[in-house]
Amino acid sequence: MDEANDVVVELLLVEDNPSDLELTLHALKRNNVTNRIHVARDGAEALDFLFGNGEQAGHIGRRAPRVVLLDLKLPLVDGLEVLRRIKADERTQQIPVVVLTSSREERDLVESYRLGVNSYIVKPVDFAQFTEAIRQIGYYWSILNEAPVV
Amino acid sequence: MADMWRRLPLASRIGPLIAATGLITGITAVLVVAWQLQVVAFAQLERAQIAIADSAAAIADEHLNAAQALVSSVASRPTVRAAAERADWDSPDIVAALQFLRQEVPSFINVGLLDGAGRSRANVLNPATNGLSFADREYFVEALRTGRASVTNPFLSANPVAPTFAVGAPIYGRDGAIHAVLVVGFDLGRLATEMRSPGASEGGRLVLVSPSGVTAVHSDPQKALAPISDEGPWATDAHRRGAISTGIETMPRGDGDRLIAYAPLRQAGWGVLISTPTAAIYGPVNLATSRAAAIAVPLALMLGVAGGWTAIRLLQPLRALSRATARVAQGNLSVRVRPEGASDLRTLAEEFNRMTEALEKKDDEQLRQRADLLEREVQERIEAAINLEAANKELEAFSYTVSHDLRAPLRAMDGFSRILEEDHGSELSVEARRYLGLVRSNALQMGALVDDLLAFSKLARQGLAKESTDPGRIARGVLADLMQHEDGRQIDVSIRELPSCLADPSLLRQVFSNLLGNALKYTRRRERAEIEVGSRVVDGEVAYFVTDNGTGFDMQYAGKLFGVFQRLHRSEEFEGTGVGLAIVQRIIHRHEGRVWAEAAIDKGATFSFTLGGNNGRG
Repeated sequence: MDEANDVVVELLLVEDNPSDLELTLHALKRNNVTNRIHVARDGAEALDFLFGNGEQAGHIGRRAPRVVLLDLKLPLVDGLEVLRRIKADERTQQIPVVVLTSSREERDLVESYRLGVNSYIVKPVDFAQFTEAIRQIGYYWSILNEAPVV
Repeated sequence: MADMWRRLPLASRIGPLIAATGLITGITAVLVVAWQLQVVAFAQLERAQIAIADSAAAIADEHLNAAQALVSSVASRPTVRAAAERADWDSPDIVAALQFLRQEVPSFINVGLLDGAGRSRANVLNPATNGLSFADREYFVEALRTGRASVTNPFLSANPVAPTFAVGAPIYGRDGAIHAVLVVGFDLGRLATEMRSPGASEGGRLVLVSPSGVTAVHSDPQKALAPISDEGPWATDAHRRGAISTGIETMPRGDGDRLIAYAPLRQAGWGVLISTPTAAIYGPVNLATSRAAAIAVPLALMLGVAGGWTAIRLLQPLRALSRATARVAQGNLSVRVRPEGASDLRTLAEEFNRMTEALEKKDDEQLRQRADLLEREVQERIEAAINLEAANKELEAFSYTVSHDLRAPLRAMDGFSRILEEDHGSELSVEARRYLGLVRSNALQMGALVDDLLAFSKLARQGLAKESTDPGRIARGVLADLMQHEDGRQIDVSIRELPSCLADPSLLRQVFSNLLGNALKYTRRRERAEIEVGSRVVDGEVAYFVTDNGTGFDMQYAGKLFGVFQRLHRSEEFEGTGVGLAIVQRIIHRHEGRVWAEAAIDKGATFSFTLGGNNGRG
């Protein structure tokens, strides 16, 4: 799962809750999405991965992930801030971001769409529904698969 | 009216009062003076009239006496007496005597001589009457009876035609017998001219009355020879008494009152009446009165205006004080008035200033205290608001956390149970799988509880967006959604036309969703579910209702129905969180409406609600 830096990551999963992380990965596996997933456990890590920090270069441009699955409630830097940064940078703003959150709070939904989120999925308690929600991400997947590689 | 007057300001009342007082005083004075003037004028006129009557009587006497004396003296001429004795009627002495009288006195309009038997013997103007007898005439009869020159009552002479009286004087012979009577006709018209007094007032009348009561002279020539009774009963009576007197005669035919003065002549039986309309007396008095009034009334009015103005001026400080008091009453304690005007008003103003000053000092202190208090209160309120805001934020953070973090473990429980079941089911016993199922269903139930609780708490914060809403359309939309999950059931639903209302459509949708959801849930055991949505008027308000033929409930517990987490059925019978009706009630209450239920066990339930005056007719 942990790819080398020069390998193109297809999906960046930002999730702090280990159970949710495992369930998400399980659901992704069921939907046959297993390759080249990078997991960030908080907002800061996600930003470091994308934009780099003093020590390492970020995965932007050619090496940018094809889609980002983003939880909102994250330690250090919250999901909305990550979303804002992705959509504010022209090198990353084309990356589809799917917010995958427990929050049914309307203000989160509104703010996410205001910041340019591509899809907003509320994680249901029911695992069957959760799996179904993850399946919808395949929509972006198929588009990406068809999209020309820059 | 009187009430209005009493409500007028003092200044507005004093002016008219002074004017009215002046006017009344002026008019009273004028009236008193006029009355006094009338009394004086009347007395004066009475005296004047008597004087005029007396002098007129004197003039008449003079003429009568003169005529008598002249005729007597001619009749006593010896030549005339001798000729009469001889019955020589054509003698030059007689002709000369007659001619003398005729020419000497213009008032003598005719002169004639009758013989002792009363036969006309020499008539200067009418010789044709010579030989005719006039023995029955007064002048002849009286001359023979009295034996001296006598004046007759007035009569109308035939030639010339004129009112006249005659003087008949006997002519004695030397034998002492009367042989003839010398007769002279006296022109009363001339006498009238002689008697006319220049002092007579307008409308005044002069009347000379003979002993027989015939008018000899009258200012109105038409009335010569009229009877004295024409002048009224008083005049008739005064003439009968024959003494100087005055009296008031009320004339017939509305001629008005007349003042009449009577004076007798020395000639026996004759008298003079001077008659003046009282209007002529009062005329000048009235003129004087109206002149006095013309001066007094404007003077009174001027006095009133000046008095009023002075009153207003005098009361000006009082009005200023009144305005200042009004401002004090409004809370302006910095008001001061300038002490001016009358000394008592000045004192009042000074007292007022002292009062407001004292009040202001006291008020300042109170104000400061109150300001302090207010500031403290504001501070407390601000702190409370800050606290409240903090509490709200905390609550928000809490619900956010609940939303996020409470669901994550539930999801994990359900998720891993599911994975265990699906991926490792073959390794588990039947009992283990049943327990896994129970873990999952409890996790889902708690998820539902969390979701409903969040929705319920969110209602308190969510604003109302009221608009004209069609409840029927909303109910049909909700029903269409709900029916998707009710495959294979036989359900009769009727949604009637509902009156539109003013409500938040999304919240009203939630209401119908919960009520219709309940109706579908609690009719599940019926072979044929019957659900009706309608409306009716309750206490003048439109009430919407959802009724079903489901299991219903015991009305004994109706009070618990709308409480959060309150359930009237076991969850094995009917699933649910006990929040749905609490949400319905909260939404209806936020619309200021009412919600209630009617039910019986196994007889179905009816839930009704109003929308607080916003529904119906809209």
